[in-house]
Amino acid sequence: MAVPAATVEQLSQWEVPEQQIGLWSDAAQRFRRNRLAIAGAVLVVLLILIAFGSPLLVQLGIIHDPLKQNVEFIESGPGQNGYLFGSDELGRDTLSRLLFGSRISLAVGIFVQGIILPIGLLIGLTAGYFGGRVDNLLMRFTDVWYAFPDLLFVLVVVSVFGPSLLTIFGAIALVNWVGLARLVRGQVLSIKEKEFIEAARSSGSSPPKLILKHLLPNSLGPIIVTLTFGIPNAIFLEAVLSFLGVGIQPPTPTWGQMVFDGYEAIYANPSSVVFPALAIGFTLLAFSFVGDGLRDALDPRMRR
Amino acid sequence: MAQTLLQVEDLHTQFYTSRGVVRAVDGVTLHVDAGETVGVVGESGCGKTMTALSILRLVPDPGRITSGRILFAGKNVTKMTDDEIRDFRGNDVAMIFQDPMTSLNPVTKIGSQIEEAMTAHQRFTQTLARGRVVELLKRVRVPAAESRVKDYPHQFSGGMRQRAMIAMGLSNEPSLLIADEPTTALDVTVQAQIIQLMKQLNRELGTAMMLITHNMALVASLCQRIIVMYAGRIVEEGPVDQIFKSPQHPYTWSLLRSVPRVDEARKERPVRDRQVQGRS
Repeated sequence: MAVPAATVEQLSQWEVPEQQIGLWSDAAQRFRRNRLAIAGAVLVVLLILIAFGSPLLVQLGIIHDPLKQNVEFIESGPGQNGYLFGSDELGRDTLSRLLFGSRISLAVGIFVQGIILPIGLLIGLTAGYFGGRVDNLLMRFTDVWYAFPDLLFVLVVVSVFGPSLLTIFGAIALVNWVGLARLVRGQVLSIKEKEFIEAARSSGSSPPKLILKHLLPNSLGPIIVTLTFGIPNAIFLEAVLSFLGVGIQPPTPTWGQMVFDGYEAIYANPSSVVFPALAIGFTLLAFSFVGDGLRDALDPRMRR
Repeated sequence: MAQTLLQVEDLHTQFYTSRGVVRAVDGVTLHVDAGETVGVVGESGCGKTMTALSILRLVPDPGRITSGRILFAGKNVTKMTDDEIRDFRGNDVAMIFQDPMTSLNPVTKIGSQIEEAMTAHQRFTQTLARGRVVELLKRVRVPAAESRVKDYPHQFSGGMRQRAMIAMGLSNEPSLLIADEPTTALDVTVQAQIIQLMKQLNRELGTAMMLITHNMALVASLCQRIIVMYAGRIVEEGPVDQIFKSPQHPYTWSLLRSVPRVDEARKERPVRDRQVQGRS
């Protein structure tokens, strides 16, 4: 058994310093290989640029003011009267309304997730970590909440509190947190049984540390994926609300509102319906692709 | 005689399941002296691990310590508050688990995991903690410890991970280290290295060890005293030589018989337990 010290020294030299591949750079690599996900990501980035840049474009005179009515040129087709995408029944530029509409959609998509995240984490982590009676109570509460029809709930909230931006964010978040809370609970329940949790407990880690350093980081992947899929969901729900006339109030341009305004004259002037509908469709698709890509990239079973 | 470090008296740990009560630990009385290495052997499910988890009060639901006393350096572990027990774990008694593949958090760097175990009990500045982590990894012979602290567990081999686990266990200089089958998940050559390491650490640091295993060779090479468990009870206890040379209990005898030996010609069919009856 006697191994010369020099040999031991050599052996340790043999360890080839492999390239540092962290968890996140590994996931990023896999995401980059997914073409659809990249296409979706490019679209999302473009959307964000448009959302931030559209007021600037108006100031520079590149596009029309989305609120300015031009009664001489109502319902012009695409390309007519200097309106690239046509104009609506009040003579407003469809293109610039489309670009400005992205602001509402993105804001709804992202801020709603911002409200969902803390609620979902709080309920999911508490239920999963403490288990037993606490879990039972919280999950039954969640079930009851889930049983309520989404659209009806949002309509009630919005009609009680008035259709401001804040109530719409809140109302959509209130119907969408259930999925995240359940997911987080499930994750925590399965991770809680892993040996490294027992190991951490046996070295005296306190519950907050267990939750924040072990349970949460290990369930981060699915959480990110769920939030990403939640964005198109929220966007769609907002579009539905706007279409029903209880969303963001006119004259603020939103895609759902535009579809509603245009659909009465769908045969005479299809462009004012088709373009916002396409915008909604592509946005949802883009976020779904990104979500799919993230799910594949962050799935630990896909690690090679 | 050395000072008694851990004293377990008439410990009962039971699981209340829908199909009745399971007595995992059924009246265990044992002690570990300071600096001593004790081996706990027995077949799977005989209560070795549950005894260890009971000592740290980490018995999983629906299990419960129903009676008995656990004294550690004069402190009554069974009566500690949540804060006290958290301070006791890792600081006074640390535990190493069977499978180093699953005992480390896959999304946290090795260094910060060891650091976490340390900062659970003492306050350190960032640089001081880092330095100590490197020192610990060097002590358990992890090569290139300075750069390895930034690695994730999946970049470590099985043996390296077990070393990291041992480093984590030693980070607060506990007076007792409970190792629950520390070598079972490792291959034979790596096992030898880990055993060697544990032997050295026991000598260097004077940490008492409680080694839970069903590997007889491991016990023989590492321990001074052996505790044989069966069905939640201790059936035999004594110095290594005595247990190996003249086992008193039939279970110990058949446990020793069940280890295949290379140097012994198979002249006869192995004796079955059934025929052992009546020997005690």
